[in-house]
Amino acid sequence: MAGKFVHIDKKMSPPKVESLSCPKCGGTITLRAKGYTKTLVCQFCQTILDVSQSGLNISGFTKLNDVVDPLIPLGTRGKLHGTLWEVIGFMQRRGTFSPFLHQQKPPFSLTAGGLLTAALDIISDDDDSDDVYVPPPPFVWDEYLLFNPYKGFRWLSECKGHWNYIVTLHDVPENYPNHILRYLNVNYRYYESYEAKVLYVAGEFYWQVKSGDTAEISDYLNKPGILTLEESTEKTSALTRPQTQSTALYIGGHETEAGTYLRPSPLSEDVSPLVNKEQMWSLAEYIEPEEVISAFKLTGDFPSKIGIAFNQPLPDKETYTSILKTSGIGIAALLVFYTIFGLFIEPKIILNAKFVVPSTESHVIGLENAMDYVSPPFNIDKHSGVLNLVLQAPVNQSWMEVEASLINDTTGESIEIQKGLEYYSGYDYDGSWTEGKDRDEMTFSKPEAGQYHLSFKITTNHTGSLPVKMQLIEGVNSFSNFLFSLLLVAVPAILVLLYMFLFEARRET
Amino acid sequence: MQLSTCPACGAEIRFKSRFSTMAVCSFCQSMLVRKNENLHLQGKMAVIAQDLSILQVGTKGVYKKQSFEIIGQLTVRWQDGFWEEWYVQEENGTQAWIAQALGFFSYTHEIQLPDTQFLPFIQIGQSISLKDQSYVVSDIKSYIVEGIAGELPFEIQPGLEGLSIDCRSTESKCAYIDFNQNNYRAYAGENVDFEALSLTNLREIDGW
Repeated sequence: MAGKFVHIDKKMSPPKVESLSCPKCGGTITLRAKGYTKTLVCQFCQTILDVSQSGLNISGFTKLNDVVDPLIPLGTRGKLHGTLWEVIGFMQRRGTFSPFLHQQKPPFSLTAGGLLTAALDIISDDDDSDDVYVPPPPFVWDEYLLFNPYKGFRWLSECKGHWNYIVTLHDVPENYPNHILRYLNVNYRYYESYEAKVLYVAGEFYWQVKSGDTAEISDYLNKPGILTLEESTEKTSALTRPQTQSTALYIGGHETEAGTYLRPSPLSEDVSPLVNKEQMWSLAEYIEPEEVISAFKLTGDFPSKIGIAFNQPLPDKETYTSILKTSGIGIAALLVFYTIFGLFIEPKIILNAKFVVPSTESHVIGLENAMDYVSPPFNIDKHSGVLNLVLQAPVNQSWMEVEASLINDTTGESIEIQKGLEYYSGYDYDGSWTEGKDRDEMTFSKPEAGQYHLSFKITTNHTGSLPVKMQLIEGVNSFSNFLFSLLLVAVPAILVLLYMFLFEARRET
Repeated sequence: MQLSTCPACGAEIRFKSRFSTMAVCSFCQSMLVRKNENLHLQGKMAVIAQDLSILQVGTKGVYKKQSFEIIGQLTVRWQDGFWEEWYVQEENGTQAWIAQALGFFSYTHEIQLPDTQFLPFIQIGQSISLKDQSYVVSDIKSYIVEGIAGELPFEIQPGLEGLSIDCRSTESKCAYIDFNQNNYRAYAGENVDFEALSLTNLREIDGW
């Protein structure tokens, strides 16, 4: 029928937002989602109206005495997750806990959050908190119904300043042991159950809503997501069973001239509410209020967050994770560095020279009259790393200097080393002073492995003979250095972990 | 494609699907039933109530690389509102159905029901197996046919009552069993997103 076919609707103009008259007060109400809307609330007299083929029928009133002003006004449009949504409905509900609804929580999970929660449980003092379920106090939350004719419906909920973006699911999660549900390859652990009661409604809804409607809700958590099951506790309508000829004997229906007559089956009265409960699954994701405010271009204040919501993710999680990662890399790099440079190796003294520089008449031993010393041969091994030269001599108001050559006995290559000591002290108007020290160290990278000897000259102006101690040490034990640098690198990580711990401690249990 | 003439107003009627047994004349709204190469007048269809549905007869799309066209519409009313069933013809002539409820679509094909004896006793929450796939019955709704348009593979008219048994499964699979005029028909398929269908020739909606 292409070409010739023109659908009847095309002959009329596209549907516009419709205006209807409230049967109770006569006020003009806008209908935004015609064809979908089943319940419509008059904003003037708070009458709940049922949208039917014949028109609007009064079906109740919203219960609260005062009008509740939604934070996002009805009719506002905003872009969330790439789609434009219009707020068409608003509902306020109260959740009440009871031991009858509560299911056993699964044991802690082997995730960072799970271990942290377990640690907190151990630290906190409640000994009998495992056995007795103490129901938390009731709480109130608001829901906003979002509509887009191409995408359908979504929800925004707000509770104690925390917001969630919710999608109704049309398939069912899989049951896993220990009250765990799996949906789209993600596991959700049982968290809580409560009864929800409708306190107030405004705008439009796509199903029949009455003030005081109740439902049983169970939440399953994998932050920032919550998988929710909502079971309406209202019995479904009478028209639920086919009364065909073949079943007439069993169920007791009967035929009329118009055809099979659908009437409530006597069976449905005996059947427990469980069987006729309507199940609705939805998936919520934590959303920051700022995102909602900017999406709907709202001015004015949103209520501030109270506490930490149970599905609230760590804010700036990426920053903290990268800090932890960087610290981890830093620690690893430190370990590698220290290993490569042989800083973990037990220091080995390869040359231990003790000798006395004899005193001279001139009190100064310069290069021209310096003695030549030659050390016995020693081995420098193959490990990479450093060599440490330790020089010690009791200079006092004097100095001494060593000029040495580290000579490889095989290749003849030599490394020149120069090191001195000096020590002076005195007394002036500021008090006593000292300068220099009588012991010093010098670190230099290890040369090639092999047999070496040290040949050196000592110059000094020390009066009297001077006992000198000179050591060459292979591998410097700088474990304390390592710990210090480790601490430096780890400080940001420690701070982040502390912040995470405190954040989790404030989360609702 | 079969060409016929509307017995009421003489307009050209084209059946796109060989499975179609009835059609609504787009000019005079007469309901026509195909019998032995002839079209019989069955009555007149009142205009279907307007709503914000974005699909219409003539909408085209692609599902699993098969292009399709919506060639028929069935709107039903139930206690809590309306929903639409769209009769679809795929590129290769196969029939399919798109069910639309609350902005959510399901794309299904008719399947054979092996045994219908258990169906009158079926309850919400019960597990059933259809064509090697297990489902949970999520809803049983009683409905009344509200309106039809285009062509349909069965004879139906406004005012007829029926029952729809919705079944859900994991991984977006869904099925429904329809009971109407003492016949059970079953359809199985999956829920699909609006984007996944690459729809064109959609109905214009003011303000959107």
